Amino acid sequence: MDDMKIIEHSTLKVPYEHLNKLYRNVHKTIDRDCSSINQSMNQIDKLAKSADLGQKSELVASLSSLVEKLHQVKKRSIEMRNQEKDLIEILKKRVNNLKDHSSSDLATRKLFFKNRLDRILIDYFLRNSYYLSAESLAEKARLKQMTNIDVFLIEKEICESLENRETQRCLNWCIENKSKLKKINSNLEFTLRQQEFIELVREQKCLEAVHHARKYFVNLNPDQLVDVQKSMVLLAYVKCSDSLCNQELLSDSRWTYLIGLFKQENYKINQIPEQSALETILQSGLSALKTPTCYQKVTAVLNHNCPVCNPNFNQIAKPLPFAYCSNSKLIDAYTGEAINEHNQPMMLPNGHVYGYNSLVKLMSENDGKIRCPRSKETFEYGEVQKVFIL
Amino acid sequence: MDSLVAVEKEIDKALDLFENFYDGVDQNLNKAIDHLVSIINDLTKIESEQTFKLSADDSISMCKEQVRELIKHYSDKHKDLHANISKIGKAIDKNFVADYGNMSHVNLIDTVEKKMHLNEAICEHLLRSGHLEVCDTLVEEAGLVKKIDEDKKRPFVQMNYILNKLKEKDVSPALDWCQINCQELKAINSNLEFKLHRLRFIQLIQQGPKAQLEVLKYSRNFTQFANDCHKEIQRLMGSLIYLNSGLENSPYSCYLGAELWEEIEEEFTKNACKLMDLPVECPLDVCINTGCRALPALVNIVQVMQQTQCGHILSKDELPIEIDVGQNYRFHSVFSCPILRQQTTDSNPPMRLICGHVISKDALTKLNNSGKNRIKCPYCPMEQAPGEAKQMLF
Repeated sequence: MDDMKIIEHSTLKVPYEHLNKLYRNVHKTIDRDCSSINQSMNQIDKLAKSADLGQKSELVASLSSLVEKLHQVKKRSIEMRNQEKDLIEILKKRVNNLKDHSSSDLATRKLFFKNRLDRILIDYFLRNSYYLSAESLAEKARLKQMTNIDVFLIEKEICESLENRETQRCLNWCIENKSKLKKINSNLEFTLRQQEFIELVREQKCLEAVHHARKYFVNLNPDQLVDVQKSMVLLAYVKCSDSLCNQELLSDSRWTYLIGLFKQENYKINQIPEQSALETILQSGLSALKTPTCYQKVTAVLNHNCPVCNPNFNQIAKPLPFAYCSNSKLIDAYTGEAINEHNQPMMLPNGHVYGYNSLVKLMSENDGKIRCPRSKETFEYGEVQKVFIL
Repeated sequence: MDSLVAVEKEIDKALDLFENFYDGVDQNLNKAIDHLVSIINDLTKIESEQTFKLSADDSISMCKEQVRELIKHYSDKHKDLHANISKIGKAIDKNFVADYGNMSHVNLIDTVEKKMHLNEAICEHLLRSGHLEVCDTLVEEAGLVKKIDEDKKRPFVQMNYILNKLKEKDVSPALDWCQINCQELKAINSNLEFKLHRLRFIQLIQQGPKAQLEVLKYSRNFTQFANDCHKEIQRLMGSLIYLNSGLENSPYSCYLGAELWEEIEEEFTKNACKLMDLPVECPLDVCINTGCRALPALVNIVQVMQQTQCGHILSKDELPIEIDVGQNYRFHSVFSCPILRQQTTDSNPPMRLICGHVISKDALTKLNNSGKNRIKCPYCPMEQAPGEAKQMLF
């Protein structure tokens, strides 16, 4: 299993879902066209069977209109052909792009990894509503085709309307995706209707609220029924704003919850994973690099290059597990070289350990004496003791 | 790779079938339209009642059959195509892992503070890779308090400018930079300037005999490196022999390789980062590269652990398996006590026994359990007092 299999699932699945959706719409149109042609044909047939010369013009007229219809069907079919073909081509392009991951040319591979990081960042930006940054980066890195920006832009519109306390756009979206939402047992539509009810009560339009309830609170499951009962209480206590139950129902946090729920369902039906790729990969990476040294103050050997020692990542990596190490892996604190059988470890009298190569270097820089880079004390070579690491 | 091949296969198949289907639809529609038009023409010409009735009946029933076939083909064949589309989906699901294999357990960025840290790390990456406008946009959208001011950006702007010029094989901005930072570069023993001069020298030689004077004049630049790089300078001057015939077929053809240009970009980045006191490789890059490397092994483990219900690997203190991050990404020494098999920490440091063997402090304490104040090294017959062991600092 390589990393591409794990990271790129949604890169291919999202355009696939678009294709599926388009296919269904195309098929609906085809069915509609076919039944309309069938209808016209039957009419003409009936007419022809009972026609006489006097109705010739009528017959010719209906035949002409059928020809016209067929022309339109042809036009539509060309459109749909192009649409379906385009979507399949997008999928194919993405597959081709991903092939660079295993390219034999180093430069191509490097470029692929650079683009991959940019794609991961764009995905992170979109999930956190930094839409301008995402678009800007996609443009600069010329990656628009490989990202799923369009899904998120639709999401942006609906989220904005929800932030403005409007439910209509979201409801339209629910109706559009009714079957898929049903498959995942989504509560979104019900929650939206509930919110509408609450808003009506808030504006003291109680009669309208009751009508609304009668219309939309049907076919409920037991949990939803409990929710409805709670909301109904509002009707009675509408003026009493300090009742606990009312506070919860009338609070703004319900809208925030709605936005979160919408985003969640949107990801599910578009086959976008819930957590961002950036966070998932960071978790693995930081964990694999995390050593106890990164978090110690006393013997902390500050390695500039270690990401976990970087103040930003240091905070982020705190709850993560340490990397597992079965055998000691030592590096020289002065040069960063590996300490092993070719570069044996030597201990100075102050307890600091360096590789043999470093000692040679330190001696050449300081007239045959060894000046510890960390504690600044000077020692003779004779004072150095050998260390055996197994 | 074969996962991609499998998906591509299904995609190509679907493309072919769609093509055939729509071609067929087009054909059928055209035929039907033509037929209808000819019927209309025929009927319009007919004047006799008898012929009209016969003709109408005949041609319309034929037409009806044709139209019925067309409709059936259009609808049914399109329905058949669905099987191919879903095969694509199945190929994707089979060859790729959905949802990152349940790797995500902890919500890593759960506080506003952590988000800010992550956004700052991303800003640093964007600056280093030259996407300055994106960085600005992000600072605004994310509401980062620490606005990246012009001073901080300037070195990155300059660095990216020089790198872009190097990509275009223009070494002059880089040389200017070297001359400005001459002292600091000497302090880190860098031979960047020499390498840049060398590349320029080769460029001039490639211009052929007409550049002869210029080449000689340029070689004066090597005098300052006479002590450190004299062997290399000798070789370079030797290449002048091939000024007329070109370096391609000479023993000096190695100077024409593209690797030299890639190497100089890396060398410049390294030196510039050292001078600016920055990590050589952007921390975000290192994390992502390591993460991608570690993911396959970790996802495997997560799958196994799910079956045995041991909890998620990210909720433990230590990862369950060793990840080889490569020598480049080893930034700290890790000493694993050979006796207790634990990593040493501040509170449990490595101790060197008199014989030179190293064990952790906890292991030392355990060996001293008998209270005799004499311990024997686990690896050799040497005995000593526990107090004689010395704490080591890697």
